[in-house]
Amino acid sequence: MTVAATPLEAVLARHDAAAPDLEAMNADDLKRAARFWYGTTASNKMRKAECARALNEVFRDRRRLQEGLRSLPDKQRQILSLFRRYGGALSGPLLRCEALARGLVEKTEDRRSFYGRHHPEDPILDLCAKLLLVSQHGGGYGRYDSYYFYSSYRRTYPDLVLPPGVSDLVEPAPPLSWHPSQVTEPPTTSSARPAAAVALDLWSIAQALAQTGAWKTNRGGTPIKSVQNRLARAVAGGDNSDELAPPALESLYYESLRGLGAITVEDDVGSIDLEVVRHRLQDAAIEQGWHWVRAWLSMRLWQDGIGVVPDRDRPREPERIEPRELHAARELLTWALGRVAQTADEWLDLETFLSDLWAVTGEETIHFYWSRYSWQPDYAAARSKAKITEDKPRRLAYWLDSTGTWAANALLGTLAHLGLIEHGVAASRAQPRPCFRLTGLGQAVFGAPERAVSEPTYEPKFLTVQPNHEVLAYLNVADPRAVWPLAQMARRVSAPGERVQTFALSRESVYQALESGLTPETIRDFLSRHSKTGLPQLVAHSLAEWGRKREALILRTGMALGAGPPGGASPFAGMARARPVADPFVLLPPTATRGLKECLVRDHNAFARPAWQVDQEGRVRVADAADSVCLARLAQFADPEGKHWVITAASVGRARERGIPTEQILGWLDDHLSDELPPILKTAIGNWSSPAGVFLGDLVMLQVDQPQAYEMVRDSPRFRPLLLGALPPDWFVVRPEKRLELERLLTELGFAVGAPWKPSAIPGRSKAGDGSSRDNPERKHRKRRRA
Amino acid sequence: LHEHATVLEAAEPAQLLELAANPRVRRYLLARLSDTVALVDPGHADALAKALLAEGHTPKMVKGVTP
Repeated sequence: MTVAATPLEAVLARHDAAAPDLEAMNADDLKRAARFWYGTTASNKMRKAECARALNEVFRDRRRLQEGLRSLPDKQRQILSLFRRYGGALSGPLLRCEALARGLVEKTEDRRSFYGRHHPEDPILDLCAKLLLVSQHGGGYGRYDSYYFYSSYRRTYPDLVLPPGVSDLVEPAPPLSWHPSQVTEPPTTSSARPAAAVALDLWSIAQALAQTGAWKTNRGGTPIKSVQNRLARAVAGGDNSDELAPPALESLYYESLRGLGAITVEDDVGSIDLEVVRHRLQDAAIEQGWHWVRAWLSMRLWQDGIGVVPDRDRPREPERIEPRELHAARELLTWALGRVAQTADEWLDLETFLSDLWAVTGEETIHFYWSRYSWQPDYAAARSKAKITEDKPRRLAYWLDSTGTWAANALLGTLAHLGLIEHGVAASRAQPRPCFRLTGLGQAVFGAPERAVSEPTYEPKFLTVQPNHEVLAYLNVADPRAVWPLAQMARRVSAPGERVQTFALSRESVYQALESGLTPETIRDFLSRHSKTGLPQLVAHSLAEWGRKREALILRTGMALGAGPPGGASPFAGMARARPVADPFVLLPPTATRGLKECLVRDHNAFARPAWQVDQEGRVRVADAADSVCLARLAQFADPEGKHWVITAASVGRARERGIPTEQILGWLDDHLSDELPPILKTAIGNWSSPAGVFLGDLVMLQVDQPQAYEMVRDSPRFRPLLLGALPPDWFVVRPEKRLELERLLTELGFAVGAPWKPSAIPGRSKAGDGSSRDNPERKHRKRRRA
Repeated sequence: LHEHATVLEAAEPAQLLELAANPRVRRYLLARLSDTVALVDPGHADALAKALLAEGHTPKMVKGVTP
């Protein structure tokens, strides 16, 4: 049944390190610590610097540390053990809950607010005073670290760390168990998501990101909306009616990949390292699940029941739960599930669990306001909450309806989707009640290190390959380590939520797999090894054929091409790594060209260089230093003419027949012209590819050279029906059929019809007289780019 | 000597001719180096790869000289 137990540390373990910063402490704090380690008499004689030196010695002297620890009261030793249990560091909220749950501190009920209230009996603060606990910055009993920030009615602590040398001398605290306040009936229906489905989705998102290449991100590192939409297609579920499904699944996986260290974001550009994902997905399921929870704990920009959130708040329009508060809440929910994992494998009623969570975390430790969750459970205790008069039930009702709903979404949404929780519905009462329990994976992850749950035995043959190239994967029996390569070689065609998923092998999907580094043999072996019915002959044949077709066409980049002089001795002859193509060409590895100083070298990564001059008639003069590639480009759209080349309608037309569009020709000209391309030629090249229409014909024109009279004619309702348009500064186009009518009107108004026309200036003409503009900013930009 | 050059290699001369007859592919091929090898226009390797895929070809992408 079992394979091997996977030893893991507590999923909440932290390994922050900090030594007491004795230099920064004030004399009172140092003296207070020295009194514990050296006695009152000796320490009273010490000055501040002596205190610091003496205390510094304490943490180098193992024997003295042991003596000090032995002299501690039992509660204080237990508190140090808590730190050892969690790797040496604890967040303030978690420390508070652990200490409350173990009876090491008492919950204060006084709700009056006292800023800086002193709690002399607090064993945690006493350990801080003895420097056996320090803040992450090395602070001890300082006013900025701890008790001065008491919020009166509830105990709060800063994040604290065991100083060096202490951890080894303390035994870890035993785990706590969970005692539900009410017994839960088994559910009538239940469902759990296999870990293999999570691994498959993770890989699908990672692969979609890798195919995107580098992507733009918003502030904080979330991908821009278009990338999110593309990712959403990779994990789009078919069943939109599942109200428990976490919102924006693609972003949950994206942030998980970030938490796993596979995604890097720099300067608002993201990239993924698929090797990191592959490495992680080859871990045992329990280890993978442990890392998924760790990633979830630190997720800032995806929130349970909400989805993607921005990186910062809007003061008047909150769009997210404050990330620090959410982190603390996730930590405490994980802590509670850790306790559940230590008890028998029982179902827990959701509402009862949340009420118990509220109580054991001191009622106010998990607390924030949000109301727009994707799933809003109907809590019996929260119905008619406004009418509840008793203080505690009323506070619980409001908590359930706000923060408790976050916890419900985290449990039955996020953690259930990650395969750590099985959820069900108990329908024996009048109102069906959601309930849950940890899956085997959840027990192992949350119960670590004490709850040693072995990896389940998976079915090595978890798929069937059908002759129509479809692959059915049975995820509930599949090993998460084995299943994800399937998404690398085949396209998922069924909804990701289903337990039996259908994939399609195609030429494109297999090609992508081969390009990502798999070989045809690897693909064939994978399918044969995991298929219950073997590999159909037709599919094997297709795989071989697709592999052959890929091998038949190679696009080779990043190498050097040597071209020897025609008929002369090639400088590349005899080079060991040279691969002849055809005389005089050879292919060379990039490193092989280092010694070839005498060659003319052209770098195709920086190919643009001036080598051509062109006039308004399209004649191209080529510089003597022009290389063969530069000439090959020219030959695509120009014809030789004596010593020069000429661009004509025929040569551009031929280029067009070869598929070369105007933009490509203009791009080549931009790369190689030493001067600007004359606009007349640019227009002609465009027209030779795609002619632009112009009008050339007879018009009846009216010239009114007096500005006031021109304006009158332009604006008059009597003239308007007679005219086609106005051409400033003094011309009108006349409707030909209205010419006589216009003449009559002009005569009536006293105009002398029949005066000779006067030429009028056309504004904005360039000196060159060809329509070019020396101040064209686009040209200047191109010049700069080329420089 | 052309550094960072890109070439398209076909298994058969007929395959290269077929590709060169397709304007969507031809526009990126600058010169024929042999019956089966064509030089790709500098800066257009990615565009050629996309064009080949769009035309239903599955070219093997190789960096360097070794197969």
